[in-house]
Amino acid sequence: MEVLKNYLETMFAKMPETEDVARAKQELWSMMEDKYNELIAEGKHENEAIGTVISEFGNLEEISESLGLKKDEAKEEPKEFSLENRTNSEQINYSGKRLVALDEALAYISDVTASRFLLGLGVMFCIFAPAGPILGSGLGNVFFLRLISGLLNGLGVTLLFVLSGIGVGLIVLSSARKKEWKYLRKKECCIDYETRDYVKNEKDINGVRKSLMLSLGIVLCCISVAPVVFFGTIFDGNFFSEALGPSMIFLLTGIGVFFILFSSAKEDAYKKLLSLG
Amino acid sequence: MLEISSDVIRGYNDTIILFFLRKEPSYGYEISKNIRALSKEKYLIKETTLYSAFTRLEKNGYISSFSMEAENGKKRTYYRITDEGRKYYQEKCEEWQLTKEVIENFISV
Repeated sequence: MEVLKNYLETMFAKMPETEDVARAKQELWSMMEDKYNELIAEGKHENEAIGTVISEFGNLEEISESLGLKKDEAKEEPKEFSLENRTNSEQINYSGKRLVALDEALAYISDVTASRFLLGLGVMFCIFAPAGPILGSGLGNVFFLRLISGLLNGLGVTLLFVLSGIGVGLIVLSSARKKEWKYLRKKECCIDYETRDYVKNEKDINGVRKSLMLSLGIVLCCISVAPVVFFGTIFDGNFFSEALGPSMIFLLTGIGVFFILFSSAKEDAYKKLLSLG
Repeated sequence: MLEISSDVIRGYNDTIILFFLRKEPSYGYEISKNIRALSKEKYLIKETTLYSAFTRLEKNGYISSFSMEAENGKKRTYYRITDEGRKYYQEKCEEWQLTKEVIENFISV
């Protein structure tokens, strides 16, 4: 429906703003709306209904003539416009390009985001994994836990495998999530004006969020060695300097990498969509 | 499929619209739907053609418009035929009889 509204707006963009023109626009809209609703009620697909309505719309020159608008006032430019719009409607109808509508684009963006989220999480867990044995053996050296140091070591190693297992699982899941959108890369697709505007707008808004997340990720990676240095200077050879500090490297780097990966998720989806138009 | 030429039918769009309005007031989409049905899908009138015809007919005093709410609450512009409109319709019908008679002489299939 929004596509039709945009189409009509574009058609009327070069018409003078008189009462007659506004009325014509309103009446034409009412007819288009009726036709569209009936086609949808007949079970036609949205894109098909839009294509039919646009192809049966006609030519604005007729309207300018019947409203008695002067030739130079209304005829020249709208002619160009109607030609342009006719090719636009043909694109929807015949050129075999698949039109990606706004709702589909939104689903794509959310799936790409989710997929990138899972990927980030997966990589993060894989990076976390070595912290398991380090913490395990470190805890085993703390005096009152020495009794169960064997158990703690075992737990630490188990944690290594469990975390990397979860990590790999999440990475596999993330690629599965993206699979159903493969056609966006393979088939010829295009997006309509409205979707393009929306995506462009979102991309601009997202820019700040993206750079924030990216810098947070980089900062986390950079400061990951800070705890080990800090604990190393204060404590000498205890749990903090031997186990917690080193494992913090993995934890902080893991979170940092997650943010770096996730920061560009939406951006990539927006870029892909805009490249279709 | 052979399509009807809009140049040929242009002179009779008014007649076609008045044909429906003679029975009862109607609105844009309903008329376009009726034209399609009665012509057995052979003539699909474009939205812009239909609206131009409405403005022309109204300007000439053959129809008048009023706004009415439809069952679904949508506000629509309805058109109603005037007495001059009925007279004009009769004239156009006679004109067509004559046209048909004349042109027929030159058609050989």
